[in-house]
Amino acid sequence: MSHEAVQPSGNPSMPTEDQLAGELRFQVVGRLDVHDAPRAAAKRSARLPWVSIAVLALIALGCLLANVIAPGNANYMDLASPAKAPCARYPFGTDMMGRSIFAMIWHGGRVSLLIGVLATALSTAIAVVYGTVSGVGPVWLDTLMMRVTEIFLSVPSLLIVIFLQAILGPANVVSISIVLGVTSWPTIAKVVRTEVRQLRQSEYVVASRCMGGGFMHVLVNHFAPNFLSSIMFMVVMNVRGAIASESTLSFMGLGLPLEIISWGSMLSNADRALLTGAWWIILIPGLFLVATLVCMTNIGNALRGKVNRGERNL
Amino acid sequence: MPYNDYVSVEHLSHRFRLTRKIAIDAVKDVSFSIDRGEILGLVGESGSGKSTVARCVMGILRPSGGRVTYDGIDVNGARLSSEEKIRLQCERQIIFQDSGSALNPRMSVRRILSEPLDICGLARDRGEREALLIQNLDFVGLDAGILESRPGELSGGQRQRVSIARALLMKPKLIVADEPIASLDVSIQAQIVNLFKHLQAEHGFTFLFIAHDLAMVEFLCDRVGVMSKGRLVELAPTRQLYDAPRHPYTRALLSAVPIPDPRLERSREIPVYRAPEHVTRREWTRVGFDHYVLMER
Repeated sequence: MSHEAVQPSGNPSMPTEDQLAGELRFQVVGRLDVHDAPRAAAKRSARLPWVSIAVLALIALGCLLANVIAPGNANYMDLASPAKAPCARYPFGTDMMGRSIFAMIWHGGRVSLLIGVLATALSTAIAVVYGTVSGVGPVWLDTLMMRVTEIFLSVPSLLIVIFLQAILGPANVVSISIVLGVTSWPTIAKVVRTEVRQLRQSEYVVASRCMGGGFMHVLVNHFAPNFLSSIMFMVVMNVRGAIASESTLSFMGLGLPLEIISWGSMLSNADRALLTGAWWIILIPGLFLVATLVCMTNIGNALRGKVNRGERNL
Repeated sequence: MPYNDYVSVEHLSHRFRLTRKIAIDAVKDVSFSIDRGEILGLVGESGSGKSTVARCVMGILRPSGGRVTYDGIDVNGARLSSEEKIRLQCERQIIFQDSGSALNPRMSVRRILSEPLDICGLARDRGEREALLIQNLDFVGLDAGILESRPGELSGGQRQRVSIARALLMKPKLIVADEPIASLDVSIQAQIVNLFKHLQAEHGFTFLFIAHDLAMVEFLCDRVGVMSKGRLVELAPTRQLYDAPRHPYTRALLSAVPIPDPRLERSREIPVYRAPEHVTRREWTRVGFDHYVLMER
């Protein structure tokens, strides 16, 4: 593109004789530089949190390959060396019962992450169906269902968790996932409901209903793609929340029994370790737990930033 | 009026409740019928209840009074056999005004067109489906290259064609078009109306066409109904309605069409229709062959 700028020369209001008669009325003064449109500097939040993703991936990989990294029974007690500080044989030391913390971290991580994922899958499934029913339902049903979620939110979730756990009996991985899952859906359900309320008047949804599309068809094809991005953040945060809750419960002695190793049950052993100065027993599982939670928070925040910037349906 | 027809609307009323106290009567006691293979136009100003009638015919809205039957099936019937339900779903199709919102912006044209087939479980075989999609795109004058694009990448005319193609895919027997051309520019409007005329001649479906462009309705429709303030005030074969309108509202509506001659246009007077305030009797009166007018006294 070459723009030749042509400018009038002289004073146009008072043309002199020569100028009128002469040739020089306009003059080429050179190429006009066209600058690129100003580009907004890339925002910090636009970048993916690669460090967090890498750390989380490493931890997840370690847990998946627990049998390769730390073969054998993680519950094996080396009674000769309890509460041993990190050394060549036990990289992370041993706990009060002589179990290798290194092995327990990877095997226990499996349980913790599994609980996080299972509980989140359950709560997301409940939230999506509940929110969609509330969103497409008549006004009275919507009001009723939303009041129920508000009641649910107003009761401390720990109370409900303890109550449900008491009903379900002794905790195991599945029961604790169910308990955590059925207590953490209301916030997601509220977001889903709001999105569905907006979408259900869309003519493509009406058209789909006219063609005979059932509830699940419309949910999967029209609603889900639209609200998925906005609940993604909450879903990731839910995984984090479930892992943290499991640790809390285990630490309080309400969660998994001692023989099922998870990061939480490892921490629950650690109360005595504090008195003896065996820092590795509490610090190392704590470090892994906190690292996982921080990574998930970072990823969740990045997802939220992405959604806020990205194009919306309306 | 006789109700022995393909689609019949009998004493249809619809009331929108806004709050507990405020309600709007969008449609009041509307009756008409559509013959098999006929194109019926419905005109009227904004807010006259045309779209509400269309939505009641499609079963999107449940009328608060009256009945809509399609080929003898009560559209809002509580106890329909599953066969009747499937017939209603497959044989009636709707085309909306704003093709921008009638197509899911996140879906490709292929998925949009496949949706009715998926719902009804038709043409599961890949090659067969592909052929069907291309054939239907061809009906509306689009080529197969468009299949992978998303609605946002298409022009308004192309989008409207895609939604027409989606409606045609099910080989419908009744198409309800709710102002299908109102959001398009004039040249595309003409194309789409020509397309409708051509498709109707080819496929022979029954067509309820809603518009406020009188010229398009005159060109396309066999019969025209005029709606005003929720009531059907006149129903007549197109030629008769345009040549000899009987209801004062219809006269006002027809004379509001501008004349493309500034001198004539400036000098002429446009009659204004004022609805009579105290109407004690309303009566459908037959004033000519197949020509009905709502007499208000």
